Amino acid sequence: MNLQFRFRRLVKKHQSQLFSLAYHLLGQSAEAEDVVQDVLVKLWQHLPELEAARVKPWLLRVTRNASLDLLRRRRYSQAYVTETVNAGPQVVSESPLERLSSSDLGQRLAEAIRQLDEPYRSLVLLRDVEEMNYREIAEALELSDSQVKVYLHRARRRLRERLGSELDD
Amino acid sequence: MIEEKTLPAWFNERIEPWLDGDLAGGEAALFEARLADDKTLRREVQRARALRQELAALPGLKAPRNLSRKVLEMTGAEPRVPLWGWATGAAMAASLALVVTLSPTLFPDATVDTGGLAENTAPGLELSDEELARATAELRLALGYLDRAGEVAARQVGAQTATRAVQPVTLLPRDGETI
Repeated sequence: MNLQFRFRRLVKKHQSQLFSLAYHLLGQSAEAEDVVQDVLVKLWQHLPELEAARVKPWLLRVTRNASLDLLRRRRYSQAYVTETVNAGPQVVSESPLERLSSSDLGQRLAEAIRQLDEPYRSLVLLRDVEEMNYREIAEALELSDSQVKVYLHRARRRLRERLGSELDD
Repeated sequence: MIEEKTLPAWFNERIEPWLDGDLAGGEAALFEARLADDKTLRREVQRARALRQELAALPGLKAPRNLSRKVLEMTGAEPRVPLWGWATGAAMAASLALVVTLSPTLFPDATVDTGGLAENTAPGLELSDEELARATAELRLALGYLDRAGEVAARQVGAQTATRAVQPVTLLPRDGETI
């Protein structure tokens, strides 16, 4: 198959899932778009050597890593600015899930997801929001299948404990 | 007291695996026996189910519409549509047919220099009815192609202009999803 044609198909197929993951991790549309653009350009550069079955996990892994790198840089930068100018406590912005969730419980769930540590947050996003299968998640996060299950169970348990009685009817 | 604290933790850690059907036979039996008698465990199982439903209801996001275009432009993998190629070809064909048809009228005394090999003089208006009808039909056909080429070109220009416009970030649910 022609490389350009294959690339165009992959871009169309995966761009929304990559954008969604980056957006949920970063909480900002412009940054998420920049990350996905960079990732897709990298895909173009590496496409000849990537097996078809490995493209999706590769894309998700690179997107997640780039988003987390950006997040770390942003936090470092904000912490530096806060410390330097003594601007007071850092304002925590709403995540996209919070903005999108219309119900109160949905918003609190989104907040609880945002407060999860890695890799729990990515696991919940990939499995429960993006509905990816365990194998793809394991490859994307470079975990074993059993680690994915155990960590995912732990992540859901933390969410359940955090939300408590709010989950009752 | 200590035993009571330890037991709920053991069961609490097994709620998710039990819901996924991942508990081994012995553990599953123990869990289910407790579930039948323990109201607190039943409540937590119900909460775990509710959590899964809430998670499944969270919306995914769509990429901004211009994202793929930007990427394809950056990488040069954009499909090369010969915007004017088709139109130019049709226009040339129509022009050629027009010249062939009208040349006897416009240039009745025109002479083609063939370098001395042969000489050809336009025969003026000496076209037979059959030749004139064929030329007219060809001209109409060529003009039809030209017209169609113009429409195609206009559509392509319109589409490119539309996709180049700045699009807002789309925060819509994917197909089949609801916010």
